[in-house]
Amino acid sequence: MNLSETKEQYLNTKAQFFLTNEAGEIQESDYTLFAEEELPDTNIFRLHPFFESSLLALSGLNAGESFNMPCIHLKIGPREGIYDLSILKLKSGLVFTLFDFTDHYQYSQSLLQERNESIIHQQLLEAQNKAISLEKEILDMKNEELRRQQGFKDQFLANMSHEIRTPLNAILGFANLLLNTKLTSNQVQYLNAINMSGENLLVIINDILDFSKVAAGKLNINEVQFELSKVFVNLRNNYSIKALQKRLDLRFDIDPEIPDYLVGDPIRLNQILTNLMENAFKFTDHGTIILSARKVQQEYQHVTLEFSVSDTGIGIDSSEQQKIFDSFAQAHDQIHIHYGGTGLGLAIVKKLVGLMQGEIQLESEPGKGATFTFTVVLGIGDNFKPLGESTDIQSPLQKAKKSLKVLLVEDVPVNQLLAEKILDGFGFKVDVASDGKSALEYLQKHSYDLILMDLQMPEMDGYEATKFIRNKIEGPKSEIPIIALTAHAMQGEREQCIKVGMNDYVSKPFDPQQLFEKIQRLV
Amino acid sequence: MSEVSKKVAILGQYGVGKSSLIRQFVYRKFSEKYLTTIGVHVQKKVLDINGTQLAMIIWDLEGDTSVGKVRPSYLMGSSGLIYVFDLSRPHTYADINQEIDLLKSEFPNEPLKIVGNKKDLIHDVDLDQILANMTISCDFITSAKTGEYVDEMFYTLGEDILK
Repeated sequence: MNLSETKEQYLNTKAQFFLTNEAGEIQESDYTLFAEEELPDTNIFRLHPFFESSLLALSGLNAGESFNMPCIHLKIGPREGIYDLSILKLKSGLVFTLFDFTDHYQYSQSLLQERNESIIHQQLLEAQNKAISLEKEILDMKNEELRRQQGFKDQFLANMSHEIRTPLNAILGFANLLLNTKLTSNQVQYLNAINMSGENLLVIINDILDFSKVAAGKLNINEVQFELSKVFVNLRNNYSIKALQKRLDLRFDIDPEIPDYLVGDPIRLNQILTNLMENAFKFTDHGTIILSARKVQQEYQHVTLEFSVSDTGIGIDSSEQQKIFDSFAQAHDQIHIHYGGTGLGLAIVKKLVGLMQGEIQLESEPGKGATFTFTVVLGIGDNFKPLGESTDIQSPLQKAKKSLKVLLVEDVPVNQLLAEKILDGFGFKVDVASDGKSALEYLQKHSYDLILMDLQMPEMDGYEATKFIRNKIEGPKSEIPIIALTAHAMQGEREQCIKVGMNDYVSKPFDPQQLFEKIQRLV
Repeated sequence: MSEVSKKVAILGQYGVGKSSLIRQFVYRKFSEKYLTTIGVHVQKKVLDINGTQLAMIIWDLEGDTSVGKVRPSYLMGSSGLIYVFDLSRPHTYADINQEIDLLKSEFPNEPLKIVGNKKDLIHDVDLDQILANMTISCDFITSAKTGEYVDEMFYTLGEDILK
């Protein structure tokens, strides 16, 4: 076989011609690809919808013109394949030429499939990533909004606290001063009522501030060395007179197995115990209140302690027992009517216990009293006295032998008067400046042993004045001890004061004795 | 009863579900498996449109990134066009305005349906967002998988062709 014959044989098996009249009736064909007997119709336009729709395109062609259609999938009779088509219009008929490229197109299809799948996968991945980054943006915006709202809330609470504490400082301070003057028994009784109401109001403000810190996750537990026995001594001092007045039997029971020195937050522990003791006193009119502590477990450097406060008071129905740990909840409405309170105390106690890795439980029966039991995990301290602790058992007031010269910086006249009177009572000499700017003038002209500095003041506030004293004034006056005396009591306030160079911090309303102790320590 | 034959071409990028829409419309079938179309597949379905038998011959064209790349001979003699995009792949409708402008300028007298497919993959909220961000109005939102709005889309095109 020569080359021409080989070529002809190869092409013959791949191509077929149909010669039809204008109506599509097949006149002649070589029937190479589609055998005559396998064709379902003698009219080409009825062999496949492709030809039927080609008829529509043919109307625009003149004799001698043709058009080509590559890569057409056709199934005619039993035969199926992918063909290139050419249609030539004659004067009196049509010539259809089909080329079978099935093998070639099937190979191309597999390559195209692979390419398209890869691109689609990539595009879907990009769309997913875009959606994720969009979601992240939305989340960031929501978080920002939450932070902004929290900021407003914090600012509101700080302002509210400050505005209430400022007049309360005067009420409690002057009531205390009055108690030290000559009074009738009725007047003493009335002043005690004013004092007690003021103290109650202070507890409510502190509860609300603590609760907002808990809600914002900003309440921290400190880790300092302390003696549990001292916490109990303080509680005994605070509640002995109250027990006497209510004619209640008050007992303290501390397990001797508890290590002398512990590491934890004595202030928050005292807050929990005080809260439970206040509740016990509030709801008990006859019988006994017992505060006890025992060691449950000791491991390496940690000890688990269990505290309980039990009373013989009115008790709580079992259906109300879980509810009382919820925020703003009290056992029932009558409790609020008869006993007052915000319903925040136990919610805060529960959070504080949780922060100390413990749990709190209540056992109670109506009419038979209640027992609150909670556990806390504390570190075990070293067996020596904590640094800076005084071993002097004398009252600090007894130690006031030196008359100090104090500059009081305070803008509210009633608070000026109160602080002046109290400092006067300590035997100190006092100058009063009504803002930071005037304080600097006083300091230039005179020498002082100490400055008591309010924070929020017109012209120049306490922070600015302190910064000026520490950084701009030269010589020993720049090192003068400064104690912040402020109605700002929000978390972080103390740290802020220390940061700008103050030595200590006392929040209003203040306990004169506490202020005196701090002055003693510094001067 | 008279029968009218009309050619309809279905276009759009690869993988948007053109073949699946035809398969659902003609055979009531759907397959999750993606099979790339090469060249042209031609299917036919006779529709009864207000008493007229319309033989809709649907040319399922190989998907490409642009309408401009489609072989002109494939579109010769068509009476209606369908442009499909994939709602779940923004790439397939990023340049839809230019694509539609091109089709309208080449075939100004042919009814054209713009179809967002694969609704079953999109949440309603996201769908609203996609449609709101498009500057072109979509004629049908379909799902070749569930058949949602597939018949409506082809029948509406048929009606427009016969008008």
